[in-house]
Amino acid sequence: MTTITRRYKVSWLAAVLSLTLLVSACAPAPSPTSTATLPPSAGAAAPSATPTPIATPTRTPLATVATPAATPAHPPIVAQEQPARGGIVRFVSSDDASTLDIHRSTFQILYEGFGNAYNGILRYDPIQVDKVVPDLAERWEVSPDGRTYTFFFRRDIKWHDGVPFTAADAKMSVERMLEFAPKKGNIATVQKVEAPDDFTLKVTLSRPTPSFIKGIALGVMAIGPKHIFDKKGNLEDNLIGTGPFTIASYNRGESLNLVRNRDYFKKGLPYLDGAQWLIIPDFSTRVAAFKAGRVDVFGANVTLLPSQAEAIRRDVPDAQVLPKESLEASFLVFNVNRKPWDDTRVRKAAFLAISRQDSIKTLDEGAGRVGLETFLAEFAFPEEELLKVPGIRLDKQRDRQDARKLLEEAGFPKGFKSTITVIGGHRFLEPLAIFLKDQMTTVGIELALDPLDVPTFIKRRADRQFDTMALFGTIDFLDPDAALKTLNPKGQFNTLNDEKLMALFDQQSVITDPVKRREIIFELQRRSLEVVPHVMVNWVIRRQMAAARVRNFVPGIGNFSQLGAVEQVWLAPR
Amino acid sequence: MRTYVIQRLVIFVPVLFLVSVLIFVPLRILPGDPAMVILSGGGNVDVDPQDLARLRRELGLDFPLHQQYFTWIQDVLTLNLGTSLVSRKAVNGEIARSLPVSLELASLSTVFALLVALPVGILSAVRQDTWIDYVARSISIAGMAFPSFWIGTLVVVALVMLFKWIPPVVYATPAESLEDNLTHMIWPALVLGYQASAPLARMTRSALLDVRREDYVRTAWAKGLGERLVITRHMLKNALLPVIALSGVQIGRLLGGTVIMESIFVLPGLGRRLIEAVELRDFPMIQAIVLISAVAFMLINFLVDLVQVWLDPRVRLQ
Repeated sequence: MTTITRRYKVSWLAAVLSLTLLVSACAPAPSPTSTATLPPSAGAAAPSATPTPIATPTRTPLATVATPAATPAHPPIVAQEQPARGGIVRFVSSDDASTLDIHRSTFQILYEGFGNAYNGILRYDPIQVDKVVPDLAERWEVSPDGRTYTFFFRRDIKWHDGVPFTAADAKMSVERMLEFAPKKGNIATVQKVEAPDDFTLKVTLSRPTPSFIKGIALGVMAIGPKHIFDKKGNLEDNLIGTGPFTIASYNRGESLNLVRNRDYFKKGLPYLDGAQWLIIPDFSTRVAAFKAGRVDVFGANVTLLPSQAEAIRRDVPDAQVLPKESLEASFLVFNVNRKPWDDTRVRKAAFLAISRQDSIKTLDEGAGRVGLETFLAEFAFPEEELLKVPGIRLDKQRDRQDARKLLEEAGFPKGFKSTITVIGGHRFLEPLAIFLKDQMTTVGIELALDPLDVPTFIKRRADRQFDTMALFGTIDFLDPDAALKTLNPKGQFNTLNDEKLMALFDQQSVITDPVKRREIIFELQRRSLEVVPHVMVNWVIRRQMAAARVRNFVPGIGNFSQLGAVEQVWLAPR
Repeated sequence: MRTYVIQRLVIFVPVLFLVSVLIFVPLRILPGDPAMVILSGGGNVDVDPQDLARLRRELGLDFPLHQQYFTWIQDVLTLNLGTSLVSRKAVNGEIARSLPVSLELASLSTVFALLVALPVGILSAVRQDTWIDYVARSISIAGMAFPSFWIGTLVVVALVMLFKWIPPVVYATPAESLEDNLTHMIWPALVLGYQASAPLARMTRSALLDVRREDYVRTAWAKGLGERLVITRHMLKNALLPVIALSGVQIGRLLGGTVIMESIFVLPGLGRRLIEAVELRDFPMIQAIVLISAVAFMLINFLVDLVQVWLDPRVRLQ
């Protein structure tokens, strides 16, 4: 035995443990995943023009079919008083972005958060959220044949690194979007893009497309810097925009920090010193963070049910509960390539079995409305017509009797077994699947739940390896063309390639006369009732929340309309 | 001792090879296409087949599996953990921020675990079959029975209900702000520490009860030594050997088991990165994190074994 005593050995052990702690604590100060070393913007912009925004047709108020009244929402505080300057608003998000390339991803934080560093050719107004207004372009013209759009850009716009904006940036961006953007379907008829001079962009369409303006104004159509793209060949790490905020730092999976662009071309904006997006994956922690005042706004991908919002409001009585027109509807999707869902009678039986009113009451706590397909306003069936439609009418007993008759005709007098595939653990989808399963049992159809994780679900959906699926479908903007997403037979919501249905869709897409267009869309919806490509259960209306001090925050319409929401937001003094 | 160390290090190689195969193959077999997940924005958008094919080419997912494996192994041998399929950034850089967070959490949790487990275990053993023993054992069992996500969520909810306060939701390293860092870390460390202390306390108790029956302890009592001296000078040092071994296992488990705490307490650690990578099928990130966890687990247990060898002359002589 050596002269080393036991006391010495224990002391040494303690020293080793302490050293381990010290080493792990002394991590090098991290550099943000992407650094923004932004040179000061150069020059003062010329006084801005005040172009007249184009108004979209006024929406017909959308009635709720007789259900218990939804928990009331509290309108956003769109203040009349003079905005106060300064302060930082903190948003919470559940997800992070994949790539930072503004043209290649659809993760919501990229548009809601990073999007505040960008502008579009046009945009949706941050306050009157269904109205398309100028952004980089101050005005535009449409050729008499409806195929050529000419945008005239402002001349006082600079990128955050001081390089002047030109039409070449817009040309590059639109061309990239047509090639890469996951949402390129919204501008699919673009045939040619030209920049005849530095402040003019000419877009030629393959055919007249009345929805083109609404498509190009979407938040996913942000304009990126050509000079950065030319240098790097991509916009993977790009943090340079023209927008009201510059990106100060971004820590992947943690936070995004924006600071005010002092040289923003819209003089007087933004009001805030900065904005922050905090990525908090756990729902309870998000709620706790809001209650504790560590976040100010629930982001668009962390919407709430009315009861959840009111529960939070009990602890934060002056919080704003904001209704969000998410343009989202719940669906039961059939795989018509599998028996017995290839039989129209079976699909009709499923259509009849589901009680929309019960869905709105139980799943959405009254915050929903019935619909037939994803058409809205003047293009949706009026409520009184909808209530006559078998399946949507209130007489559910009769509907289910008719459903059983149809199943008997189809050779299933005692019903049959099938599966319903869903994203497991999803806080809205899994209850929807359980609800649909329950509804199907009323007519003898036994659906076994098939919960999957997201990647497996996406693969099965793409490969058409399912019987039925529970899904939420979101249209991107308020135009009937947006319904292509839920009607497209190659898409996620419809596996039935009904030529007449798609011919009607294509027909309405080129008509500018709203009355004629409406007639065709009504005919399309009647055709949908005949062939039942899927079952749209109901529209859902979610809630976002904001702290009392936040002014001028209005949830965007749909999930991808707004390119940043913070330009006109301000904080009332304490 | 030198021979023992070399033997142990040599065994690392085949074990790590096996781990690499066990990580790589199941990931490729599992359903789910990372390119599809990325393009669909997590399921929001229909995927154009041409875009999918192009992205798979860009990401190297269309190469044969064995080629992908050997490319990865070659990179790993040069300490290059690959490029994230999602962020297109070097995995090394992404992990560089996360690893210290998990290490710090695991270390703090271990310290708390030991600070709780040793006194509770000693008290429980010394006051065997008294109410103190029963209370101490109940607390230990509760620590093993209650799931960590429940305790963690309860802590957050209780803090906000009682104090209208929760820990910071933006992580600061100790270098940036020690106060913010500890304020953030202390809560998940306490939860994990409490959970980890339960088996340690029980092990301490059992080991002390075993040692108490030894002749040299009886001799110590017979010599008239005080209780504190007998426990600390004679009983504890021998009883700690199995506790140290178990601590090694616990630290390894903590490194891999901090996922839930990192989500609840918003810590950008390896666990959270792993969950996000699995959800997005970011193969290089998953492979890197699992490999690092395996290496860390093996190293920690190796070090614990060395400590035991060094502490216990009987093991050294064997």
